[in-house]
Amino acid sequence: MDIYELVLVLAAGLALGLGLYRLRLGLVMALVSSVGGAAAYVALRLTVLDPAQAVTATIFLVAYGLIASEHLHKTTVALSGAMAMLVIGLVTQAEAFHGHGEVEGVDWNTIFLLIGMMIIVNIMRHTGVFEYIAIRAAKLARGEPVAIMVLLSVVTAVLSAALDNVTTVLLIAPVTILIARSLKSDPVPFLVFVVLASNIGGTATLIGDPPNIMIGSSARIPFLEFLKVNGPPIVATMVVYLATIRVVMGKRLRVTAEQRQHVMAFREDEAITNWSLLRRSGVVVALTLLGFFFHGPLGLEPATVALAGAALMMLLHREGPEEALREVEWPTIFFFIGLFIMVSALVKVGVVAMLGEGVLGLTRNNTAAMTMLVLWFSALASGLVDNIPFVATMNALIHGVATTMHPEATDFFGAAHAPDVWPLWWALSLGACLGGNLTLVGASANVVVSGISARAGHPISFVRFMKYGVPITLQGLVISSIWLWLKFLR
Amino acid sequence: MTVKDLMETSPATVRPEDSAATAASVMLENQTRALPVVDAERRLLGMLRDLDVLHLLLPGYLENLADLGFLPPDLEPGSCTLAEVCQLPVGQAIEGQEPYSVDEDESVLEAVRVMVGRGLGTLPVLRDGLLIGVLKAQRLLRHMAEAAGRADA
Repeated sequence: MDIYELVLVLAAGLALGLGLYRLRLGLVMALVSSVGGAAAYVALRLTVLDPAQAVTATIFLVAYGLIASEHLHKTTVALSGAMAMLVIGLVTQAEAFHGHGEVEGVDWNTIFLLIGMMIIVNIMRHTGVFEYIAIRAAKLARGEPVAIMVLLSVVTAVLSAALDNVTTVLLIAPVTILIARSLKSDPVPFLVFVVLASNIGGTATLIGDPPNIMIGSSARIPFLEFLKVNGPPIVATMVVYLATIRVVMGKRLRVTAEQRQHVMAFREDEAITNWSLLRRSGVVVALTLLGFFFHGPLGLEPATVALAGAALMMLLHREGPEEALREVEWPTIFFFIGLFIMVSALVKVGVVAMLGEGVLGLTRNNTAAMTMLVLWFSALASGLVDNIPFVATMNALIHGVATTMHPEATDFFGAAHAPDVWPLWWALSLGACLGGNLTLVGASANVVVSGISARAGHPISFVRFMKYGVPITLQGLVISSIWLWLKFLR
Repeated sequence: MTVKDLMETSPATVRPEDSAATAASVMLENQTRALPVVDAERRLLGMLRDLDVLHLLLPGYLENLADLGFLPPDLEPGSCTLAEVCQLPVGQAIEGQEPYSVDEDESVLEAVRVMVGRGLGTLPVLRDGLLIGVLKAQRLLRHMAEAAGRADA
């Protein structure tokens, strides 16, 4: 590393710091980012990375840090990072948009699967059906608080498996608070149990949680395969989880018959605002789920099924495409796009391959060791930081490991589906999804519920969440470890 | 015709630390549905409409639900009582607002464009960045009626 390079790095760091300061992010943020970025670059260069690799990795790390600090919107950061990499030339537009060789580029299957499902779910939510289901569950429990917690958790887990977790909890959480209020009970345990259930349930299917969508897309794993492999450990995890709820909360909650009557006084039929829309969207959701079940044999990609469902919803909804398209969370979509481009650059310059070789070296090519490492490390990473960038990087890393272990494989997926690589995908899926329950910031659903709870006058502290989240996550990870061992590693 | 010609000078205002109950009284006394919220130097911080005051009654966590019809009639969904809501500072109700305003020398047509475009029945008027008056839709309607009257006569 010569003097010219050092000067360039310091200049870039200064520019970044000044830029962030001008954006009114505060002196501390600006200093940390610029000094941290420059230091990261120098440190990386002093290892084995060449300038292109160091710049790419530094941009990625600075972006990750800014996203974690939440001072700038994560979409803005992801797109800026991606554009920086494109403009500098670390990856070309063609590679970013279409992929080339091992550089996957933007995963359009994931993007359009997300878009399709957002349209379907967001039109459906206007019918009030989520609220209806939550109230029915509470009434089925006859107003008994622990039974309510259990049934709401089951309902949330099932809905999260089919639809996105955030929307599910966005609608079930307020009703949960109201139910707890009518029981004169602290809503926080109810809410936390519901959100933990949503993350667990979402792990069971291809479409239940964004990490699974990304993994299924990257490794070409069909919907039914996800059910076959993730289904059993998730069902087992849920059973243990519900038993834990009963055991822990069973003695603590006493409500009077009068309070139980308050719950029974909820009028769930009034929750449905539009019966005809509910019928129509119910049909679309049912057909879409059928489509997902059989997309493998039908030879259709998941995004196709989702978009077909969305198109059908638009045809039946009759309000015009603007309304349907307005329901798409475009910032989230562009966040994914920016992220995919950044990871593509990381792959192209070779950083991901190096990380993969590191993992192989650490575990001495032992599949069992790698599987457990991926499972537990993914859970930890997922609990502490946003799991989407982590999973995007890990997908590329596992592909890299696969090609290193199988240089003879002729097609991209031959290596990825090899028996000594196969378990790694499942370890990543289970770890990244279940790990979201570790902390309040581990999953978007957790953050959403925390916000709703705060607005209801019951803020959930970071530590209090972990008291619930950590033991439950450990349960899930232990069950997953045993399952992976039994299924793949014996 | 400029805004200066039709505006109401020395309008009733509230400060951000005033309570919702105080703001409601001021609105009723002055028979107006919107009050400019100003600081000690009469810098405009926002417009407080009657609906913004009522918004304070709604528990924030219920905003995503499609319909509240399922609630049993005797349930108190808020985290605070009506008495407590009345004491909330109005600054909370206008948080994050970027208030629209016109200068006194601007044309009435421009003022109408802003009012219609933003759905504002009352538009604050500034001179050198400080509040000096408000332009009301009612006043403009009266102007229209008078002009029509003169045309007929």
